[in-house]
Amino acid sequence: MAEVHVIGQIIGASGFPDHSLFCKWGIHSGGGWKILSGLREGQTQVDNPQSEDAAYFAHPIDIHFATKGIQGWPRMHFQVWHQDAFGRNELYGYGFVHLPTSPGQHDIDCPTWRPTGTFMESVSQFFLGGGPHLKNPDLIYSGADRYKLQTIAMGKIHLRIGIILRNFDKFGIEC
Amino acid sequence: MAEKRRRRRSKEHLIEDEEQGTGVSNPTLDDETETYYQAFSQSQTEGETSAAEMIEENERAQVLKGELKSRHRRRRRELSKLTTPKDDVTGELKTVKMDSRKKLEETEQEADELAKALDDARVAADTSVLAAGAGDVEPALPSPARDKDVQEEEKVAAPVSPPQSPAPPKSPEPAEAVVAEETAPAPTLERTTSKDEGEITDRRRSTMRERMKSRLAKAKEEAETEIEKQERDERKRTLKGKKETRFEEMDEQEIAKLEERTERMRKRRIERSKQQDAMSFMPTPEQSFDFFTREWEEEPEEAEKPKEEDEVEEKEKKPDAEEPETEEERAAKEESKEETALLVDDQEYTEESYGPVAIRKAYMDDAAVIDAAEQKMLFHPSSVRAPSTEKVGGELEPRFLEDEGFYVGVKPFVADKNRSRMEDRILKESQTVKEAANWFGEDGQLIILPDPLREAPTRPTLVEDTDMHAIDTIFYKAIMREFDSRYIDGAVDGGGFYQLDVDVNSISFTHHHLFSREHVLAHKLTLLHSEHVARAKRDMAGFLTEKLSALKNSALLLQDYIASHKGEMTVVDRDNYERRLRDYKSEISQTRYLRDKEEQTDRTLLKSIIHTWRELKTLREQQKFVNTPVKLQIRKEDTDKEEDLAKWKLEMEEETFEEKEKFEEEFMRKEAVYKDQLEKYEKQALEKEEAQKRILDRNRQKKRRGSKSSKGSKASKNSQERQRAETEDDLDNDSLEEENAKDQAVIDTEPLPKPEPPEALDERTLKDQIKAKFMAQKRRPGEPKLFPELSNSATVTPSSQCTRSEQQRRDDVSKVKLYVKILFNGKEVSRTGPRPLSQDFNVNFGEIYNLKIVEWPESIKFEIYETAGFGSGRLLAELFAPIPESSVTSQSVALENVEFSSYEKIQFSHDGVGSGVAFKFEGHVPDLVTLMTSGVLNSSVAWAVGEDGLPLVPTEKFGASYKAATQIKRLDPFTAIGASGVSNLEKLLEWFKQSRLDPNDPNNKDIVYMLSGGEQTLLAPREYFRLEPLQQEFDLTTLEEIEKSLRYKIISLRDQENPIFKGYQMIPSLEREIPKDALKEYEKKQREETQMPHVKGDLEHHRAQVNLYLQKIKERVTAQYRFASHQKTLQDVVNEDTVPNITMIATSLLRLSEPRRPLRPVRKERKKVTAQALDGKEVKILINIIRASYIPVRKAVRSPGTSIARDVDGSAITDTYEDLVCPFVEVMFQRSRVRTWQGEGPNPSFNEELELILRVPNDDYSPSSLQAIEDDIFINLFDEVTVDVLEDNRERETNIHQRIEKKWLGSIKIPFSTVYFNNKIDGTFRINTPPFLLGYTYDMMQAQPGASEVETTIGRGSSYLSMFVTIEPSLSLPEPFKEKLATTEEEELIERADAWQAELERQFPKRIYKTTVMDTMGKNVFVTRYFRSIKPPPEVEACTDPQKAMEMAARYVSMIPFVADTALFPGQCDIWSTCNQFMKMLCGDEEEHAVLLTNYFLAMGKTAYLILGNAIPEGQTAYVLTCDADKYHLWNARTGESYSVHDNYCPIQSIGCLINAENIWANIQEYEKPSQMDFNLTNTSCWLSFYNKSYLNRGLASVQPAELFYFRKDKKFDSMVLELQERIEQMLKNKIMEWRSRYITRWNRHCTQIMRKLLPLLEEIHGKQIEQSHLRDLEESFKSYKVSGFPLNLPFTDMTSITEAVFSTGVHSKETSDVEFALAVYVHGYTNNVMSVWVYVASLIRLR
Repeated sequence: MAEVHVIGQIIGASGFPDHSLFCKWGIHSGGGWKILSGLREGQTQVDNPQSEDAAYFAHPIDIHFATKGIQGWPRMHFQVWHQDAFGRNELYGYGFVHLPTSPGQHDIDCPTWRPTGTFMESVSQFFLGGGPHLKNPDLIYSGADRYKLQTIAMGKIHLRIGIILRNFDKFGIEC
Repeated sequence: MAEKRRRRRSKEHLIEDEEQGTGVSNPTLDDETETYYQAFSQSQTEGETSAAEMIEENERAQVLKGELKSRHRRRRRELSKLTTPKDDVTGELKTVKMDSRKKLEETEQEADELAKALDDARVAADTSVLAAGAGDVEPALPSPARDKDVQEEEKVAAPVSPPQSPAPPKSPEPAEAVVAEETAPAPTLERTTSKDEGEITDRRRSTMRERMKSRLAKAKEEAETEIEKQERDERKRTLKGKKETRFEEMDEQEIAKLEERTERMRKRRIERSKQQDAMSFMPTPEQSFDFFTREWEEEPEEAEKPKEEDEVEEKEKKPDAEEPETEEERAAKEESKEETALLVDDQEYTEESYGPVAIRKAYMDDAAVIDAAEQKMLFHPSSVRAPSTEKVGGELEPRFLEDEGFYVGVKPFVADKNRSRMEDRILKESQTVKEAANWFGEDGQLIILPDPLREAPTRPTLVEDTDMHAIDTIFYKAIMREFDSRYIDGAVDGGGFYQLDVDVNSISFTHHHLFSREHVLAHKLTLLHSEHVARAKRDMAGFLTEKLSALKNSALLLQDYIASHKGEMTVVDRDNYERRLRDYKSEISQTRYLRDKEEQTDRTLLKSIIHTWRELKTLREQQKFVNTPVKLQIRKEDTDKEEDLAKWKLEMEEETFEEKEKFEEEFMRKEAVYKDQLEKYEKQALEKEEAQKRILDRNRQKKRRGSKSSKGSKASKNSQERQRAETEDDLDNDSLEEENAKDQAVIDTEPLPKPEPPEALDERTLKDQIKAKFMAQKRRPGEPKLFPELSNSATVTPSSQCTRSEQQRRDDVSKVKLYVKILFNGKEVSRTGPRPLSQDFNVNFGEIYNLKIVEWPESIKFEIYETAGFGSGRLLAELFAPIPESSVTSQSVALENVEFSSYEKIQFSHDGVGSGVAFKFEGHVPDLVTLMTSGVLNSSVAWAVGEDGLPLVPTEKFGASYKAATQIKRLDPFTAIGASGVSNLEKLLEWFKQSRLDPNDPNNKDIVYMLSGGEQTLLAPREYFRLEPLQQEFDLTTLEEIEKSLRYKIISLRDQENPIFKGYQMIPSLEREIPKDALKEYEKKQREETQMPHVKGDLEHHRAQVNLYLQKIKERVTAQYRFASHQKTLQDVVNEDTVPNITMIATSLLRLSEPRRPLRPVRKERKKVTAQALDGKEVKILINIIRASYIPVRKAVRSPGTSIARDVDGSAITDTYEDLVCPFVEVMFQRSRVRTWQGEGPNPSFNEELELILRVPNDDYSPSSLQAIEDDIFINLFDEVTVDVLEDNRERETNIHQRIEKKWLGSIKIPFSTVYFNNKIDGTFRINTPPFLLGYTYDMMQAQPGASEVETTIGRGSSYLSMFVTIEPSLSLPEPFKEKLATTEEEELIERADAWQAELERQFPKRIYKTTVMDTMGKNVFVTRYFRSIKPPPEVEACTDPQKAMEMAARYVSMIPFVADTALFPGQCDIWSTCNQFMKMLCGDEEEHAVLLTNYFLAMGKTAYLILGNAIPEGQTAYVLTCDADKYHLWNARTGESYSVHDNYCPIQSIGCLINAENIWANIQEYEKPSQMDFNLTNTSCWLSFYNKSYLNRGLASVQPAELFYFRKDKKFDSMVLELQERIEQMLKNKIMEWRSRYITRWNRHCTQIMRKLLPLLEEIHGKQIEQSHLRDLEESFKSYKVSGFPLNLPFTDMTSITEAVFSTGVHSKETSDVEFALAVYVHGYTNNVMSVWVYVASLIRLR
């Protein structure tokens, strides 16, 4: 009957080629995890910062899990999108992090990547926007073989996550 | 343990001491003191040896301690000085040197003393030792002294330690220590030794001696090291000279410090590792060191000396290397360095003298000596291979595992020489250390692990298969998200891939404006010919002829059969056969007819072909050229004329015969009819004649009689007789008249037409007819059969030979090009390239266009354009292709021909015939022909098929999510892995067999195990696999337990915003703190939902069902709403104030200049308080009761005869104050009451402010929870009556004994939600008074004389209350629900509706306008859809009087219980349910009531509208407006009352809009009160309609049912109603008795009887003012009682609501025992279980 509270925020994203970003996030957990309260996925607003160093979302995350074991520890996955001057949205990166397993506050940087696609695709991406997407976004966090996937690194998503664990010590799990 | 404690204590002491001393502590020093002090304290505490010894030693120790302490202090001082800045360093250096020199001396002394002490302590001490100890002091001889020290220690330790350390014998440390002590004093060794020693001192030395010894050793050590240092430094100095700069010195110091630190760290580390090592079985560093050095132990004692010498030599050789190793005492190091430095200085002065510098020769030892020493010291293992027996261990035979079949593996290559050396060394060592045997395996080889590396580098092969779809990427364009239903997946790039394939094949023109005349004809010819061919192919005529003959045959057979078997057949059979025969015959004639027709068409077709061909030929001849390749050839087939003729005749015969037969039958029938008609005709004529006759007769008779009477008078007959006769005459006359009339009617009847007799058969004409027909239709006998054959073999004349105009035409044709545009949803998506028009007017495209679509296909259009070579061309035609069904794919579709035509008029000057222009064929065809350009497009549209063979068709909604779910399932990693593992297992097995892996190789262990399945079942794959084999081991709990947890359940319910837990703020963090019944309410609700509550009676059962239904709808709506409410828009999050503009400034400026009107205060707008800001403050409801009017007054109770006697009685007093009433107002909310002071008279003025505290569940003041409060504010009007209960008249002067009674006069119920939503309620309200109040009457005199008639009527029978209700502080309202809901309406309609509404709301922000409402599915529905005439229930239909019927309908509707939407659907906005839902739920709010009533009125043929507006007290509401001959009436559907629009007391305050099925009319008048408004809806300046001329009514279908289903009221229903009535009565009786349990409750049955009679009467008149006459009865019978009571009327919902209503009146609160009660209940059942419940409660007090 152990519980995990995840309280924190998606602070922002930096290091992307352009700003005016928004981020779709989700938390994926194993079968033995039950969400007692809170949303397991969401989307931030579009932040179009005037200073070009980073986009800030300050998007709150507050989830309360109950778990039957430590297997399938929750992980967060992200999709960073860019909104261009025409209001069109294009994918800028995928990323995923495991939630920390130790209690306390953690500052996490989640690096992101984006599939590269063919030369023609990159040319049209350069001029027209858009870009290759994963056919199934589960691949972001699933451990399936993806050595064939060609990606390039994009920026980082900054998270500040506080973890509160409860009753883990009862079951002999030290935190 | 004790030791530890002690140490701790000693430490404490030490700290104290330290603090006393200097206050600064140096950890290194502390350590040192600790060891000393420990020794001392141990000596203090332990008392093993004799006391004398102890004292002695103590003293010494004390001294020692003192000395040490002082030394510490000094050192500390030094240290502090050392840290001072560098300038002072030189100055200080000297003092330091001095100090250290002194210290050296001291230490020497110390050593001396210690030695002495030791001597004292040990009686049996060796003198030589003593001497050695003395010699020890000499600094010049360090090594022997040390040596002796060690020896001495050995001696001491050897005898002492074994017996006196019994505690830790298992621990290897003491032994080690001993060994260490014994071993050669190599510098490193020394360190360890001393440390060990220290440890031993710390831990184990338990006896005094040992202690002493250790102390001695320590001191000695110190001395040693110091001396050593000295020596070294001396040497150093000799090398470097004395010119050490201070910087160097400083450096040295710093280095020393650094070293010190690192040393400390190292020591610590070593200590730790030692401890760890002690536990493990691995050899410690010491052990291993020992292991290598032990050998030397074997050597005899004498070896020691030279060895030591060697050591010295070594030391001398590399003094620098030693430096970091020599020292272990951290603090002492630097100090000693200093000291030694000084010492050396001194020495040099003394020995070498003459200046500070001495030059010495470099010296070296003899190489031979060194070699020899080395030889002795070093060991060279031999490279000769040792015999294996030695390695195995003597007696054992070497065993070769590989030979025995074990897997050994390939060992890495090692050179033999090296291996032998290693083996040799190990063997040598094994002689001393037994464990060396472990180095060798059983085969006598060194144990070497097999080479872990592969020989060749490998890399994982890349799988080149195609099942890597999971990582495939798709290129998406940048997405523009549109919240629009147009897109298939919600966005331009929603993810799906849908494709339409449009195939444009060809166009062929059936007419083109560039056709020449010849073309027209040729085309006609081809058309005709193709039709002919088609017909010939079908050969209908032939088929029908066959059929005909077959029919004839069978008819003939049947006829024969009937004829032959006539006698044998029964009647039925005969009938049957005859019918069959008739059928055959009719069939034959039918078929013949058809065949004839077919033949005729064939013939005409043939004719026209020939005709056209002839025309064409003549045309060609005329124009002298050929334009078209068409050529017709007619093939003839000659026939035999005779045969044909015979056939022809035969057929004619047959037909004539049949016709004749038919005709005869017909004739027979007609004749019968004729006869019948004739008969009738004759009869009528006869009757008429007779009637005529009769009339004539009568007239004659009459005349005769008239003359007779006149005759009679003349004859002066008996007058009486005459009279009689006259009356008789009169009677006769009357009857005669009647008869005459009758007869006249007979005559007047329309004369039947005279029937015509049927004509007889004219055989000639028949024959002629048939012949004519045959001539027209059939090939004549002897005529050859013709077969036209069309070919395109005619040669077209080349242009050069044609006329000029034809040439022009041809030129034009060749210029023309055509292309086709393809438009998808009105947008051009692609177009074909322009293709030239061929001379035969065909265009071939043959192109397929793939359209990838994102929008739902709405239309696919082709536009055919024609260009004359340049320009974009002219649109010829548009044609639409059907949107293919999802099953139509490009693989299955066939090309289709779509015809098109153009209406354009084109005329040419050349030979082209043009289009839309009449032209004439020259020659013999006289008629004009007009042809339009037309043609056929050959094309197809279908869904494309993807690479995987699936059609790229968008699935229906919801399909997508389903698909996604399946996809996820497919990609589940576990299943994927599992599946692939299983599928590959066989392959693996195969591979395994082929590769012949060594099954014994541990590397292959896993694979072998897996393939063997863990057992010996060969290498068969297992039939199962496990996903996560150890999963359960890691589980902390089970999911069930999590599910069971109460706390978790509550948390998640709160998160789900379950109504019960929504406002829950704190949930205990421990499971046990949660009350067990926390979920009780929730579970109860769940149970209620799933199963029916157990109730008695059918009606209540029905109610329960209704509630269930309600619950379901509620859930659905809640879910819908919750989803929508969580979708935030920018406006929800960002609150942007509007920028003030110039007009706002102007108005605020104007406000300043406004005159002050203190006597007319305006209520200030209060600030809204949010729920968060409230925080602990109380929320109050303020009710300001201003005044009441038209309150009924008490009626005088006159009881003649007793009036004087009752002079003193209370009622007698009221007699004198007749028409008096003392009303007061009591407000009840959430069961708390407040009241005003009593007023006086029927029009009292209160002007009182009452406060009530609002209690909110869970203290949640958020709008959504406030909305959900269902409590009502009851405002009751009572009359306060003072009753004198003084028994004895004589006491009156001295005593006052009175009782105050309150009598209910009426009440107003205001739901809290109304107050909350309106923020304030202000106005005059009608008090709901019972139809009659016993003992009270309305004061008729009050009606002001000037008041209008309307007002006076209103004034009668109803009281009014002026008040003001508000909430303090003003609470913030929920945000209006603006979210665009899903809708099924047209996009455009919704758009217009929104715009229309927004515009009106801008103009009149306070008025209510609505165009769309939310239905129970949570969808937006256009409001006019709610209207449809619905047949009212049978009760209403039974009313003949239209006025009554309307009232009845209103009454019926008002009896359906009212539940506010906010209570029904908390947190949601208004939801409109349809009438059948309303009927099913049997509850709803104003809208539902009003809609139903409107619909009823519509069905009754009235003009009715729904009004949306504001009324008091309910606020936003819906009324019904009816228009009856320019008289407008407002109906409150909730109460069933109607008001004239001119009624000032009409509760409706503002009218926003009128709605009915046709339109919505918005009020744009200046006024909004009905009395001030113009209701002429056609007046566009007053009413703005939604549909108008520019936007016509869409004729939207209604959502209402065509009719409601009404249950029939039968006996069962009546009995049910009766049963209910009885139950209610019984329950109320019980309740009243329960409420007044203090007193006996008596029931007056007589009164009840009378009241029971009265109640149905009340129901009949719908609870209006009852006539006094009815009451008289009641009053009469209870003259001797003071009766007070009233009837209550309410719709039936459930028992509790009835009890509640009765309770609130407070009838039961008569606090006397001499009161009697009367209770009557009447339930009137309307159709569909709508019940009107009447409860009459009265209290009777007997008058005395």
